[in-house]
Amino acid sequence: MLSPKFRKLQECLAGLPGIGKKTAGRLAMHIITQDKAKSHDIAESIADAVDSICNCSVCNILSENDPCLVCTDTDRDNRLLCVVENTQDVHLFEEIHSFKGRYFVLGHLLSPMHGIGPDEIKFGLLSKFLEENPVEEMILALSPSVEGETTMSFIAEQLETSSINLSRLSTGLPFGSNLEYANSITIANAFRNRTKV
Amino acid sequence: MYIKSLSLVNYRNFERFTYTFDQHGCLISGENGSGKSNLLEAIAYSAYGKSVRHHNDSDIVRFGVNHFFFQAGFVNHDEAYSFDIGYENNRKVIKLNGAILSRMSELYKHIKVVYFSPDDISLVNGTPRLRRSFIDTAIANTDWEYLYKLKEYNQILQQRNALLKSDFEEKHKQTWDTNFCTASITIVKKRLEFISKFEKVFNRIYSEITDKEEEITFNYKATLQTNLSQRDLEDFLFTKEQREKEVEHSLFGPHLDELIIKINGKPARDFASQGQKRSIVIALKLAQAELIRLISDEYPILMFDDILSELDNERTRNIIHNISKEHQIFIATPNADHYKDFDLRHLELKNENIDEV
Repeated sequence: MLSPKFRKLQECLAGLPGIGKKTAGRLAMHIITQDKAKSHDIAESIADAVDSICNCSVCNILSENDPCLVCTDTDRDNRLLCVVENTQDVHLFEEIHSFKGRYFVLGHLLSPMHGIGPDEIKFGLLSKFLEENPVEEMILALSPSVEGETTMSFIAEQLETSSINLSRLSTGLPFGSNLEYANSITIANAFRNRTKV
Repeated sequence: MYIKSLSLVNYRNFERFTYTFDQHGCLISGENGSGKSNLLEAIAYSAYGKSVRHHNDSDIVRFGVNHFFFQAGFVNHDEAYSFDIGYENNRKVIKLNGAILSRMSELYKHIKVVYFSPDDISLVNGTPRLRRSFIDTAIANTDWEYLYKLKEYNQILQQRNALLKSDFEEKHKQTWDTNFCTASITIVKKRLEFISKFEKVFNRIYSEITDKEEEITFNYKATLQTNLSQRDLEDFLFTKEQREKEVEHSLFGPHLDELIIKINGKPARDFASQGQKRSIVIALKLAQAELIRLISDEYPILMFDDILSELDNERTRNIIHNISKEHQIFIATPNADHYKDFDLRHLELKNENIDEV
């Protein structure tokens, strides 16, 4: 018979994205049987992260500080704004070291099927951000899915009368890949969005 | 193009089956229940990535086991393609030339099969959904991007339907309406372009196989008038908003459009005889094959699952004469004599074994 505490741990883990019941059972067993100090470390870091990380009240990035370190960084170019879906995307752009502007995190993409509308993508907060910050160019860096495309259209339509230059990421062939292995849709997009050499 | 080899493991009634075909195809005879249709279905599976007889993968597995596997080798313009499919406990992996396929539309690009089934009569008699599905498949045979556009349209439709069920903000709905109209226009334009090409090819084939002066026309009845501008369409949807809110789903769009087949100006569904309906269905599929040939310069594999048996000998002969020898042809029938004009290798299926007759 499994202990009720073990079962509860397993159920909690199974509630995480991408984790099924079997994997949750294996993880729970590992947490229980490994060095106790390591398991306490996991528990404490979860509690600590949950208690101290919150959404930045300016740009919605997940951060320990409010406003976040990006919003308070005076070396950033305030004329550029990159709009992303989530905080992980911010880390991706930061890693490439070629963008020095500000970010805004929507948190979601528009999806009526999941109950996500303009309020859930923090459009009100984005409007406030734009009122307070004189942005010249906004880069919509969202996934090229139906939901991503619709979210980009929605933002573009709402900002139609503003003087902000709107751009989006291009779609096409991944770097270092072989043309032969790209699927037809990617090749068609790459062809359509070809650039001058 | 042609299929060169086929190996089946636990596929329907076949525990193990391997055969090498020539490029002309064959006539497969056998008693009822011997697995003739299953064999044709397996070959067509490789072109569509699913059963052409609308069966679930779990129903394809041989009774008493939980997995099936099959491998098919195709040759197209002297280039070889291998197609592998493995299924076990609701999980399926499809490989084309050893690489796992993430998009079924890639199959449409390489493997072309036109399957004639006895159920095809419902293309004339059945619901509009069947005719829409026929046009969509026929377009996708030569325009692989179309499937992607259709999938995109269906995703937008689902989202819009969910929105109509909710307490939405007007500006939010406007964005979905804009995308919905753009996607609808793309789908309807492609369908109309296709139908105009298709109608000519169809009528030529229909008159050749029937020897009659009947005029068949295809009327595409769109629920959204796509000759209007994008703006006018959006305005139209706005005027219907209250009604759509009440019923909580989209009342317009290519998912509801109808293709009306008319014979001498009257709906074939109500006015064509059984014989005329059968000829229309066969001409529909032959025209589908002919358009593949005209557009992509490939002769698709033709598969007749006992569909010609109900036609008289003269009409069968006309059909046989209409089909180019360049096609690889498979015919499944319990009555081999009816097809002697085809001049194909005759194989007999008995107890999962195939023997040359």
